[in-house]
Amino acid sequence: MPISEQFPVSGSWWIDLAVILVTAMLLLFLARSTAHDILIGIGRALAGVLRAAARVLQLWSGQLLKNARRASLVLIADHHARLAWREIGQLRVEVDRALKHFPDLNRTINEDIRRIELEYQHSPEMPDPPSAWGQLIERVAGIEQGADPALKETLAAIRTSIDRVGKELAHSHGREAQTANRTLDLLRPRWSRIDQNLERMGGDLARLESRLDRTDRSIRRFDTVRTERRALYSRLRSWLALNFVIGAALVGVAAVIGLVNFHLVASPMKEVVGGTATIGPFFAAPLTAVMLVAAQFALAIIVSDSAGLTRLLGGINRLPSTTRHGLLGLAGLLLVLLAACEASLAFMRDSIYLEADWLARELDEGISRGSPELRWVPSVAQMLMGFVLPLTLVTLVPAMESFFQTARIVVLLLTAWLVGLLGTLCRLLARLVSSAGHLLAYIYDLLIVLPLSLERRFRRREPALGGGEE
Amino acid sequence: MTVCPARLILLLPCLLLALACESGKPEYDPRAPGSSTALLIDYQSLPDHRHAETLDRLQRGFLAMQSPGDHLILANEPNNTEAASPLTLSLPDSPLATTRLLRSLRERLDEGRPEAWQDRNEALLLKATAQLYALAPPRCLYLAVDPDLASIPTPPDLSQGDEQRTRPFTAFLLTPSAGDPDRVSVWVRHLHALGAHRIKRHSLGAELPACR
Repeated sequence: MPISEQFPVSGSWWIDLAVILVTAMLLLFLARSTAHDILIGIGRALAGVLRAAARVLQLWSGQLLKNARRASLVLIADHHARLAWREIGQLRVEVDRALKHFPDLNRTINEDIRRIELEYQHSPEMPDPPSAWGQLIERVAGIEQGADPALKETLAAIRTSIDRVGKELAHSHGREAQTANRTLDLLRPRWSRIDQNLERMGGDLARLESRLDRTDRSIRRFDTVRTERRALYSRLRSWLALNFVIGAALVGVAAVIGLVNFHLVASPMKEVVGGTATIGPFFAAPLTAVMLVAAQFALAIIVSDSAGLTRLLGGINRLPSTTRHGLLGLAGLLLVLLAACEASLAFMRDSIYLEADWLARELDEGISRGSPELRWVPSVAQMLMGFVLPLTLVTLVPAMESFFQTARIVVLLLTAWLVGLLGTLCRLLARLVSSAGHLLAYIYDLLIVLPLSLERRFRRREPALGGGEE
Repeated sequence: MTVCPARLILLLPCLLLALACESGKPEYDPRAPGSSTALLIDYQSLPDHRHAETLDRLQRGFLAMQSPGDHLILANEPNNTEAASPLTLSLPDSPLATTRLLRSLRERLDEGRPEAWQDRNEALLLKATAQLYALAPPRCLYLAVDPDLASIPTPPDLSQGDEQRTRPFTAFLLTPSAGDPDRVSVWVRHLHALGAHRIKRHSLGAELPACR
């Protein structure tokens, strides 16, 4: 007999339902304490797990933040180290340039001084008036004239003689002084040259001093970055963000240049390697075009690294200077050759499109249009674009470096933020689950509210009955 | 700690490579150098006043759908009334050479007008399909015919039937009107017998459908 035919047992569904409900309520009432323990215990256990997960996530987030901060500081220190190195390099150039003239300058000044000394020694002395002559004049002037006519005549003769000799002496003295002055005039250009040389030397030394100050400031700034890391991080965060944004924009430009290069090359490449030729499971023409663009990127990076503009490839920076310069020349030559190759392909591209366009028009209009004439302006423009765009990549490599360096920090910060958010959510969930255990216990009590209220009533009565017996 | 973005930089060429691979993936079997298409116009069955226009438009549409590496069979080659043999051409791999070849072919088609073939259409159809089997897939035959006006084709010699069925082609029946269903079904049966595994009807005034 099927089991469905045994119901309702009492003959009425309502009575059966009431019996089931009462029985269930009774069972739930009896199991109340255990059920409460289970519900609250599960809630606590789950909350504990979630709290542990939240703690782990918070720790992870903290570690990520620490890593991001460390990476930022390394980047900032690296930036300042580069600035300091640049200053030191420029200082070296300035010192080389200034000191290169110093031996010549020294020799010139010494030579001038030696000649001045020599010419001075050979120059006539400025003649002094004879000392006895002065005494003679003083004594003659001291003789009283009196009334003696002989004395008067003698003194007049002496004065006349003194005047004549005095004039002769003055004339001769003047000539000698003139000669001495002329010699000194000849020395003047040498003096002024020495003066100019010394002034130039002074200027060079002042410039060196200023450069030294700047270098010193750069080194001090680098030292500050090394020592006061924590304070600097918050100060330079905006600098990092700016670098990231500008770097991202320029990387976008580089990617667009790569795409334009690809489109300039892909179509004429079919002419070179064949439109239906395949390499493995792919068509050869687009694959070769991509290889060409990728090679341009790689060469641009090598050129930039070899020239010391960037430090993306550690191996290149460790190379000796001569090898690096050789590599720079080779990579630059290859890049120019690739650019020339792309320019010729771009030129051919226009011819292909022109012919195809001509055929399409002929087929569309149904008339023969003769041979198409080469459109010089678009053809040359495409050719120039094909030549210039690969070379432009070199200038964008520093921006790419900046972007990739800062992108690492941004990714770390973003991950840290997301992990931190997840940790907070876990903590909230733990609180919720913990409360949910108690809430379920209350709901459980709500289901058995009738027997519970009866139990409470009996419990209230029990002490009263006990008190009566006493 | 050294920030080493070189690994990240490798992502860029990889992305470009992925882009190229995506754009450069062959859509069909890479061993096939290109599609093979044949055009045959039953010139005799078309209304007189539309001969020149229809022929010119169909031929231009047929040339426009060709790409480098494709094979084409042109049954209505001009000035070829004596030989009654379709022209078969394999287009070169390079786009520029293909364009130039198509332009020269266009000029050649423009120079001469085909004569009415009278009773040679069936023979041409047989030859065109026989040449089509030898070419690489996908193979398509464009047959412009007016079933109401064309003569009922004679059942083909099926001595090569087995070989034809191993290399099936798609036939596009280009008709100027709805046509008598019985006569249309005769042509459909005839094309099936020639090895067409799929037959589609198209209006003669519409553009030629692509061969897939």
